[in-house]
Parts: sequence; structure tokens; C-alpha cells
Amino acid sequence: MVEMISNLAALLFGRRKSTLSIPILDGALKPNNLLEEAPVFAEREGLEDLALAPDGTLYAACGQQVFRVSDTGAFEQVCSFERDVTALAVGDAIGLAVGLGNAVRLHAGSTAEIQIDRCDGQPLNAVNALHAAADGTLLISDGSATRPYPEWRHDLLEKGSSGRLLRHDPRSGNTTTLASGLGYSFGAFADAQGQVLVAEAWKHQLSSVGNSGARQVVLPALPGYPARMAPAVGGGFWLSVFACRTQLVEFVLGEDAYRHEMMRSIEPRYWVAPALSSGADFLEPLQGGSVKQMGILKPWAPPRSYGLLLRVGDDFVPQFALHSRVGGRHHGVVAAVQRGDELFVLAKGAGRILRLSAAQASQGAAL
Amino acid sequence: MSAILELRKVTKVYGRAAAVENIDFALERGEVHALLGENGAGKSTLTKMMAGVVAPTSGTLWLEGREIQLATPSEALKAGIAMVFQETSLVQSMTVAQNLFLGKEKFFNRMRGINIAAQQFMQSLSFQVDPTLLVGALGAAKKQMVEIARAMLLEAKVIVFDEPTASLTPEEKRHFFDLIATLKKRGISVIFISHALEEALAISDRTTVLRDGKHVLTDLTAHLDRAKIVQAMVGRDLSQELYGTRKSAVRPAGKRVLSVQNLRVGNMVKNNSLSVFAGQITGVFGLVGSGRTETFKVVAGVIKRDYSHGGDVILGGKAVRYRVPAQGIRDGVAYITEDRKAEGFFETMSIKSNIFMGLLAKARFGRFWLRGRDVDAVGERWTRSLHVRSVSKSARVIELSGGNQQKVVIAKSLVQEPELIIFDEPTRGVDVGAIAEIHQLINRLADEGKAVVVISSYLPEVMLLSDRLLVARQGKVVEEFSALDATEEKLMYAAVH
Repeated sequence: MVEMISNLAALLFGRRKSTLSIPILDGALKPNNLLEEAPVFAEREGLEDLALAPDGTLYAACGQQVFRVSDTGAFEQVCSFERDVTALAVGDAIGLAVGLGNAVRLHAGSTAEIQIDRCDGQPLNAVNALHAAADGTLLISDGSATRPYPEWRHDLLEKGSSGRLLRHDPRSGNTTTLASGLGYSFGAFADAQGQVLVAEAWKHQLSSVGNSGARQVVLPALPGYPARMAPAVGGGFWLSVFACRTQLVEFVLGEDAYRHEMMRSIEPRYWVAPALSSGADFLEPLQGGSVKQMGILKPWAPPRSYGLLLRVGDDFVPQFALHSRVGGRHHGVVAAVQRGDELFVLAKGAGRILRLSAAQASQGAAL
Repeated sequence: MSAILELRKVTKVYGRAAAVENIDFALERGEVHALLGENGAGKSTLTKMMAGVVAPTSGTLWLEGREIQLATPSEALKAGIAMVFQETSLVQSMTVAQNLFLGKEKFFNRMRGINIAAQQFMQSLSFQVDPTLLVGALGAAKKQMVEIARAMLLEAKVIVFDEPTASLTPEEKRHFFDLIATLKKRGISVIFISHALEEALAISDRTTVLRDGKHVLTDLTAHLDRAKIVQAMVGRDLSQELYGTRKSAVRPAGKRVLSVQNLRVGNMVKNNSLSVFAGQITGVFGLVGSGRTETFKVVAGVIKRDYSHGGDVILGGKAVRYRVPAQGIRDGVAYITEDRKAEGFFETMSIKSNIFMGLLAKARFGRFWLRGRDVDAVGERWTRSLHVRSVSKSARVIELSGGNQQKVVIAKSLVQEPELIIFDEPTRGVDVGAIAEIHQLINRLADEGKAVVVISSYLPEVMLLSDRLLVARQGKVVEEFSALDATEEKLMYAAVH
């Protein structure tokens, strides 16, 4: 009864509405500068995704091309497409799989090219992540049914929840829907036990998806928007977080009239919304409130963009994190792959691939 | 120097047990004399005899060369012996000024006059305490200041301080030590009881150590060091066992058990955010007034956060807002208070009854099925498990030493089988022997996978116990350190600047 009255009072007086709180970066997520200080391995405008072939070759999607990246960081074109590549995966069974926004194309060795552009009667719309599972299937994350991949900000501000997780079996050629109605799926992964995970960016959580489609949240309340995942050597996985949540964005998400007006009248890059990079333009939101003063970013400035990569254990407990903090350059982390001790991180906001030692990163983050 | 106060061959027997036995003690004029010993060593009994609280069973007291008999504390005060107690003896419902002048009232009293006199006196001591505030509204440090001021006001020739610095911040401690120096210059003799041995070593001229009610040593402090004192106190070398080692590894964090987000409580907690993880000890360090205690009291449901803009407390993934502590207890939160006497136990009840109270608080409906004989079984189990030492099984908690009282408070919470255990100043007013046991217990809880929080103002303790350290300042957590990375300097810098 008391709870009911309390809820009613909260509804009437807006208590809950005024209590905008987000999880903080502490514990295993404690900030450091490991990502910001990481050496730049390769740099190219338009980098979108990374994939590691079973033989250890590193591939990168950039613009309309897919490149093989040498140990020196040199790009060698593998193939080219008529549209921007939005996701990439390489596997023994599937060969090279490429997301092209509203389609997925597979180049499995000598076999003919296969294109997947719909599933269960519904067309693909925003393919943003692919994962070659150990069982030979391909997991496909289709972020939104209403907005194409480049319009992810629109989907957030429209509170989209039309994401899908699909599975394609190259042996049968069937593509099935594993989960739908996702709050922007942006990352799919099958762990060592074959458990399928999906990152729901707008819900700030990771969920496991059963064969029946039953979902269970395994890593809730993330302080940012989770994206692609990749296996980590020694168990567990790497989880990219492409931006951090802020109270300002959460507030704007609760203000419908303001949000609609902003979307109607302001250019998207100046919206109060997360970004993959920031600080280059004085027209960015909050500048009027002096986030920068005399050209210097105030230390408490809310992170419009941020660089964050989490190392998550098999038990879904974050073990440590690599950061590029407010005012840094290596923001908008959307992909990471590990090859032995080498960890390659794609900071899309900076258009850079960073290379770190995973062991040293672990030690550095522990302090 | 000549002895201002002497105790010759004093013995005090309670029932069949001797609390102090055949002790000779001499306090020189204008000296600071540290009186040290484990809880239960007889320090409090000895000083209570000086302050007229208890009468010796045998032996004599001599003040300025004359034998005296002190039947009541007021007689001791008249004779010039004042005692500042470990657990504050102020009247909570009266103002600071009223407490200062309690017992010295005139027939007609003008509150304004009392307030002004109190204000002037507090200012002369450089104590920043508003004399018009109710003592109950003051923090522990300020209460201690009032307690000290009252002893000063009584113009005592001998002042006995029982654990005076336990609740003071480092700055306040420095100030307190200056005050002791001033007293010394004025020729006032000071007896100083403390469990912080470094303090005793730093400010005392001579040191006396008691063990099990017997005199062990008295010597010039300059001739002693920490190891010698500890050895004399416990009969074995504990200093390495306690604070001698530095952490070489920390426990990895488990699942996030508690997430506090943007918490606000009046002026005490301002937009505070922190997380606590399972299988780890999270140390929370900060000066008095940094909002540490208040934050965790909100978590446990002891106090409430602001109604509007109060932030969120998320326990095990579920947002909670407790109205009463019982709700928190049922959700697996145990808060072990810093003020055990006021909030920790029922002092006139037995150990087993106190422990059983903890179980009653946990059980919502099951309490109707709890039987009387369960009281004995539960009490017995936890008394044995935590090594609570008492004269008899039916001993009241008030009769126990500080360390054993603290163990009862801990047992009262652990019987609830909590998942999140918050220790607020767990070893305050506890002797070194019991400190080691309590530390072992805290470590054991973390090893068992519980989420443990240790709030402490004592840097070596918080550094030794914690796997990760949070530093609070002005109502919020401002820094986080790994125990491998933390140093006293870093922590103090974060707490102050």
C-alpha cells in the first residue's frame, strides 16, 4: 500500500523523473588513459569494423572497401562494394561476411556470393555487427527496422526498439530470427559455451538469447552504449562501448517536445545526443554553457564522446576497462579483436586502429 | 617533578574476578601519561577509580600528598580530577552551552548569557562548535570537542582522556595535541588512554602498560617504541600481524552488488555515486563530515535520502528506497554502526539476547516460529564463532570490554546472513588483540564472496583491509584507488584537496 501511494506521489510530483542517475565508472570500470595513450597502429578515414580470420589475418572495413591490414599497419584492399561496409566477420565456414546496411553478403571461398537481405519476411535495414560463431553459423545484428545504420542517433532519440538478432546457417542457407524488439542491437557474439549474446545499446545491457528466443539480461546497467564484441584470449570477451551515457542525454530522452523540436530544427550532428568524437566544433551542444573555457575543456565536462573498451569474464563480470577520457582523441570505440597478446582497438571517432598488449593493459588497468 | 596523583596497591574486584590487581600508579605534575593496554586490561577501571566512578576494593588514592577517598564523580571533580569518557557522556537533548555548564548553573540562568560564555570559551580553545546546537545533532568529533571543553571549563588539575582522538580527523587530532601541550604548560596533568599507539608515543612523556588487570611496565616514552608496547600489551608481537605488511594482491571484483547513483542527503551527501562488488573489501576513507557514514546509512535504511533529486540506490540490480532498516536487513544489508553504544546493542541485555535480536530483525513472519531455546543456541554459536569473551554466559553487554562489545554488534548483524556488510569504524575503541580478530573476520567474509564495505578514518587500517579504496570528500566519493596503488599520502591528498 505504502509503495503504491509512493509510486502515485512520484507520478504526480515527478520525483522519479527528476532523479536522473546513471551508473558510474568505478571498480573494474575505473577510468585510466590506456586507450588514449595506446600507440596508433593504423589510421584511415571511414574505418568501421575489424575482423580476425582464423589464420590470424586482420581485416578492416573502411568506406566501401575491405582491407587486409599487415603487421606494419599497411592497408591492402581485398574487395570493394557499391555501398559502405557496415559490419565485417571472417570465419572458416562463412568465409568473408560483409554487412552493407540493408544486406549481408558472404564470400565463402570458391562458392558463389550469397546475399541475405530479408529474414522472416522482413527486410534487413541496419546491419551493424556480424559474428562468425564457432558452430559455423553467422550471427547478424540488425540495429533498427526504421532507421538505416548511419542514422543511429535518430533511432536513439526516437527511442527505437526494433532491433533484431538473426542467425544464418550457411549449410542450410536458412536465416532465422533469434530475437526481435531489441533496443538497438549493436553487437552479437557466441561465447565458448555457444551461448548467444546480444548488446542492446539503448537499454545499456547485454542479454543472452536462447534458441527459443528467450532473453536474459546478463550484464545490466552499463554506463555507456554497448556495441560489438569479440573473443578474448583466456576466456571471456571484449565489449566495445561506443559512447558513455550522460544525465543530459537521459534528460532529453525524457523531454518529448524538446526532443522532437530539436530533431526537427537542428542539424543531427549538433543534437544533444552521444557522439563518436567531439570537441572539433564550437557549435556542439553545451558550448554555450562553457564546457570549454579559454579553449580548455573543463575537467568535469560531461562526455559527449568517450573511448571505452571492457574486458568481460566468462561469468559476465567486467574485469577491467580501457579508457580514452573526456578531451581525449580515441573515442567512439566500435570494435576490438585480440590476436595472442596483441589487442587491436578501432576508435571510429578518431579513424584509428590502436594496438596494445593485452597483458600490459590488464596490469595497467589494475592500478 | 612530584606526583600529583598516586594510586598505591589498588585492587578492584567485581564478583570473583579482579579487574585490577595490586597496581601502583603515579602521575607527575604537568606530565602527559599514556595508559595503554588491551580492552579488559583494567585501564578504564583504574581511571574510574581516579574519577570517583568506582571505589577500590583495597589500596589508597593520594592527591598532592594527601590521601583521599572519592565516593562520587562530583567529589573527584571538586578535588580537580576530570574525566573525558570514551563514549560521550553528554546529554543529547541539551545544547552545547547547556552541556558545558551542566552542574554549574546559577539559580537564575539566562540562556543568552550561557550561550555567549560558551561561545567565548569554545573560541578560546579554537573549537568551531555552535553552542546553540543540540548535542544530538553534532557529529562524533564535535561531541568530543564539547566533552574536552567541559573538562577544561572545570579547571581540573588532572584530566583523564579515554580514547579522545578515536573520532577526530587528522587536522582535529593535531589541534587536540596542541591543546594537550597547552594543558601541560599550564601544569595540568593528563592521563591519555588510546589504542592508536603512534599517538601515545607522539604526545606522552611516560607510558604505563597494563595487562589482565596487572601492571606490566612504566617507563619514559622516549625509551619505548611501538613493538615494545604491543609486546607488553598482548604478551606477543602483533605489530607485524596488524599493520606491518603491505598488500601484494587484491581480490578480483565479483558482481556489482550495490550501485549508489547521484545520492543526496541534505548538506551531508551531495550527488554521491559509488559501486560495491561481491567478494571484495571496499574501503571508504574520508575525513569526518565527508558523508561516508550518511551514504551507507541511506543504503541500510537507517536514514532517508532527499525526497526529490535524492538519487538512486540499486541493490542487486533492483532500485530500493528503505523506510526502515528492517527492509534493508531483509534484503541482505547489514550496517555495523560506528557508535555501538547508542545504536549497536541493548546494553542491559545479555550477549545471546542481543545476537538473537539480530535474527528477529531479519525474520519477517518466521519470528513467530522462533523458540526460546533458539536464543541460547544462536547466542552460543556466534559467541564461540567470534570468540566473544565474557565473565559468564549471561553477562550483559555493558559489562564487556569494547572489543567484545564490538564482536557482539558484529554477531548481531552476521546472524542475519547478509550479502552486503558495511563496517563503520569497525575497530574504534577496540584493543589491538581484538583488532586482529576483527580484521580476520572481515577478510573471511570477503573470501566467502560477500560484498564488504569498511568505513574507517584510520589510514593504516583501511589500507590494510581494502581491495579497492574510495575517498570521500565534502559529501561525495572523489577518488578511487586500487590497494596496490594507494599510499597514505595519495589518500590523504584526495581526502583534503
